[in-house]
Amino acid sequence: MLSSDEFQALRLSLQVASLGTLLGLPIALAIGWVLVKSSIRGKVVLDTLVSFPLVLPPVITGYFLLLMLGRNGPIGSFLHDAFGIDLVFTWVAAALAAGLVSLPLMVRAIEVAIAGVDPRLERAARSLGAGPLRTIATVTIPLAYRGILAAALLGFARGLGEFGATIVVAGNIPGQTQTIPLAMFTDLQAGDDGGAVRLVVLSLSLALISLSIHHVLVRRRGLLRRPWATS
Amino acid sequence: MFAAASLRDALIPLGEEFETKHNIKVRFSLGGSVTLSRQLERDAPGDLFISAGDSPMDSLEEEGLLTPDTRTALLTNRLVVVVPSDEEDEAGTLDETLSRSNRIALADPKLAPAGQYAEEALRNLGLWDELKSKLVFGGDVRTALAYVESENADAGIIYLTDALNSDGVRIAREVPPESHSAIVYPAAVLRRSDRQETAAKFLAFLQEESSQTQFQHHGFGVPDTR
Repeated sequence: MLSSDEFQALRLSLQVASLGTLLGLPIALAIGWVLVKSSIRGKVVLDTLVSFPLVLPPVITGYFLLLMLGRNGPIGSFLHDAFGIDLVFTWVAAALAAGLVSLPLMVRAIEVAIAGVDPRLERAARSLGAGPLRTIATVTIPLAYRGILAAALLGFARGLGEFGATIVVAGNIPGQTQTIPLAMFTDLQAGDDGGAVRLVVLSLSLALISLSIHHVLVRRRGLLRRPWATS
Repeated sequence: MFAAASLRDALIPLGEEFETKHNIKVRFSLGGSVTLSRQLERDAPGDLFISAGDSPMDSLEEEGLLTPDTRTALLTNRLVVVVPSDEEDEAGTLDETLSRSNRIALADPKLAPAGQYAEEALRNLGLWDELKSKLVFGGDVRTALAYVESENADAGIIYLTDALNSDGVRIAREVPPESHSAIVYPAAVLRRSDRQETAAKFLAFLQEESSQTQFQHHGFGVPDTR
């Protein structure tokens, strides 16, 4: 049914989106928590920075990554000289691109999840002697876990569909970085209509699966209701 | 004007010259010849097409999309291996240079003749299987050039003309011309164009001696079957 290249594209898409989400989620958690719960100054700046990958054209985000990770970039040259590692044109770079563009989505979803945790429970934990980190780990996160999972799934779905940033920083290499959207692009340019149709069906299936799971997670237990509010 | 990416540096100034001389606006759509050919098959608005190889032009001819009797062989080119210009000169044969590299940039063979010629050469030289996992594909030959210029690829297989026009790369080796099909650039007027006369005029302009000299300055050759 699927050609070998298409199978590779599926495998790569899943791999890239998984690693991207895995790397992005802890960062999104940290940023989300800061934006909702902390009272540090400069939250607006953080909020703006986090929104950039959402508002900028993905190609620009990809270019930024290329500048950072390229042979002559700050992170790239360090990795190359110290470890002999070149990330550009690897699936890891594609994963970083996917994670970066999903970050704003995950942060927003996590903000909702964390804001939905009854602050009285957190205060109770603190008054019983738990430090801030222990409170987050044992009270906030467990209570917000459905929303966090939904955020991860949203990030994953976005990562599956990432194209612009991926093609700039990871290139379009079959078997190594050619994810489903990139394979689709090549098929269109090369005139392979059969391949294009198969990839459309594949993408729709993946999208439906991830969105269905997301829907189930968000719908149950009325995530957006606030049972402690008295009005 | 739909034209192969490798023609960029030579064609754009010629287009400007034609514009000034004849007061006709010239616009270019440059890219991998296969990509362009597919776009033209899908009704993209082109008047003239210059391909870096025969097969993208042949597919248009088979679909009856070329104006009869306008197809002509315009230019030739050669394939070279390049490395970033600030890399030290290391002696060695072609396969030594390529084997040493971690990433070799080419145009995607599915999208551009430059990639097809490179793949053909590598297969004929028995290097394809060994080097396959190191290949990085760009959408056209200029993207491949950019990868080497930025040093994200440490070698590339591109046209001689692209190498000559760039300061960021150095020619390391020439690819033996016998290892791939002759690189010929056919040009033709597109049947669906409403500007048949103008397109034919531009094509004739490109075949004039002064234009041909310009092309040769950039490293292109002349087809000898003329």
